Amino acid sequence: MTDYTPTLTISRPPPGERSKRERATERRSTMILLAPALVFLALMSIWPFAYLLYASFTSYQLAVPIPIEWVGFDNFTKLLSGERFWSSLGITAIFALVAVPLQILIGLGLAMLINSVVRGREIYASLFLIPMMLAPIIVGFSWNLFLNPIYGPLNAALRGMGLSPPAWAQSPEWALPTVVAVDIWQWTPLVMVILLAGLRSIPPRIFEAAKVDGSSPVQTFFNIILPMLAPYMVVAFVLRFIDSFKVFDVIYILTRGGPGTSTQNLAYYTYDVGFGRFQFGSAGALSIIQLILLIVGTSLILALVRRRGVGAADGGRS
Amino acid sequence: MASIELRNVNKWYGQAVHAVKDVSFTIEDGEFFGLLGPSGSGKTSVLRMLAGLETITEGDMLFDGVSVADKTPQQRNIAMVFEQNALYPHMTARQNIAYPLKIRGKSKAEINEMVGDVARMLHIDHLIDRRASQMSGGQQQRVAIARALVRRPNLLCLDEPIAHLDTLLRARLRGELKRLQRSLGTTSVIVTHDPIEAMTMTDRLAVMRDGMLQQIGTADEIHNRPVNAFVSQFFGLHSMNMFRLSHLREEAGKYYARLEGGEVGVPESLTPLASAAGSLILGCRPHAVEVLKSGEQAPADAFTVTGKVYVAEPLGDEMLVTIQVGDLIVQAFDGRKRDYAIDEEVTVAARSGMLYAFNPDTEATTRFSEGSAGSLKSEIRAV
Repeated sequence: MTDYTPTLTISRPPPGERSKRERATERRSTMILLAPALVFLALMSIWPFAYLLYASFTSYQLAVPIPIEWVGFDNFTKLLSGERFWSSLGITAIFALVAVPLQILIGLGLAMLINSVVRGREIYASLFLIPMMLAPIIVGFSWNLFLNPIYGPLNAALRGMGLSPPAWAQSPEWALPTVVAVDIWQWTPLVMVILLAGLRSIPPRIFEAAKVDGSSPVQTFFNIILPMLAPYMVVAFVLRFIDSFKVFDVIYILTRGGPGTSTQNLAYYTYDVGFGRFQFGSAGALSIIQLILLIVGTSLILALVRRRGVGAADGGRS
Repeated sequence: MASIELRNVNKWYGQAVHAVKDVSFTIEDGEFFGLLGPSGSGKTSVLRMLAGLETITEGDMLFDGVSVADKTPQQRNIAMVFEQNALYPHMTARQNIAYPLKIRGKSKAEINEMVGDVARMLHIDHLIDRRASQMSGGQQQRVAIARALVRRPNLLCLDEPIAHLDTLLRARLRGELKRLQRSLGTTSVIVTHDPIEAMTMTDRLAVMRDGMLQQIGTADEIHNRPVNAFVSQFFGLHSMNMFRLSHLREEAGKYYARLEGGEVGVPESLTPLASAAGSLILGCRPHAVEVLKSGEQAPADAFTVTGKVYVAEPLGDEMLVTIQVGDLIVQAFDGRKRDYAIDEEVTVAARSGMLYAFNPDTEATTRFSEGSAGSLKSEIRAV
């Protein structure tokens, strides 16, 4: 019992004292315990992705019985030189860069409004959440009925007011604004909930301090509320930005990408290439392009945010 | 700077809560005024009405003789330091302090100079570019005080500004705040539940309970001449010992009364203060009580009670002995620092001249201790 130093923590013996066999056993049991999850992940995520990546470099077509050949970057170059890709990219960009900022703006307004309600705040918040809780397919069908040029209540009402309303989803000029509006209608509540949580996290003392300091409501909004909400706005923006690449259901039901290709975004284009024309190689390439765009876009947003210091570690803390 | 007058101020929250009841007092120009009371006593409501953060339900409030009841905090030109966490977290200390100046449209140079001055005054110039989250609680409160002082307010409202800091820092900031207030001459009101803060910092203070004003005066006045049993127990470093006697009776020229199921002797000089039903409340501060071990003799005219030692706590020069008499707790300082065993039977004795007496029905003070003049000093020295 020499050189005995008492310790307060019960720790594992140092590595040197443990036998090799002991460590091997531990590693084996770790692997056994992790195996089901790893197998599941490999089957459901990794393998399909690898296959997609592989397919995007081949001439894989389901409709034509030709052998699958390695074609290199052919699929990519063909897509990028086609006009349809660029018009679809433009539609996706409109969702990402017009619809999402509008959702943030309207969501912020709604959050401020609901936060100022004293009685029944939860009731209003839940009412506003309904669009988000509906299945997209239901949203699509409901709007389809609502906007129907002949039987729809909206046009009936507008006609009653002596106007001659457009055919909304079927009109070349109005189809895109219509699907964008439906997307905003459906997803603004999510932004609202995130920003409402942000607003509620600001201690009331901060507002009182601002009042005492002589800050007007407008000054308080721009100098205090907005900067303190910035981290929440970034979260909402990134979430919606990613989702905006995946808008499909509403377009599928309301316009099928039409009239022409006027509402066809990248997601719909991919679906059309893959399951309309069964060109799985090209569809794979399209998916990969979207993935790259998403990664680049999100990294850009986050890098920008980091540089400007918005949403830094101390953003929400007091 | 301004003198402030409250006239019959009432505050109702909804229909049910009458938080402030008919409070009137005057704060002189440049005075450091304290609002002291336990939680729920309405002191914070009074401060928030002074600041303009709450409306006055009834009554009036005047700054320099002009009613400000309908004025905003900005129009009153008040500044406030909150308990904690009221800095703008996304701004640095400098931006926090400069904010009230910035929105008043002061020039950059002017702002820099004023912020620099006040930062030096509060010893925060070295952390002026840190954010709130990068500062300790004490530093944050210093910044909050700087933000309040930077624009030279008419009235400085302090809502327990140092209550959440550790003991040493609290003692230090207490002194700094007092010096600052004296040198700037800003009329200031501090809300606190800590009698030490109230005693040490303020010129005058008001003790509140259940929304009602109990007593206004200097720390010495309130300590030595408390108007009722509540004030005497609440105010001071150590609560006053209270003996609620009943069934006073005379037997062979001596007087006895019931206390906690037992019977105690009562000095004759105090008996005229008892109610017709024979009830009487006596009080004495822990410093006015002697602890007698068995075999020791109490002075002739002393009021004595026998109990068991609950705990004895050495406090440097003295020993604070807590004695249990039935359900009653009596505290006494023993300057001789003798040893006490747990549950040792001792007698506490107080000379009748050192005793306060209170009306058993209204609890108003009917007799003040004669020897209490010096006790405030000795109590402060003890801590």
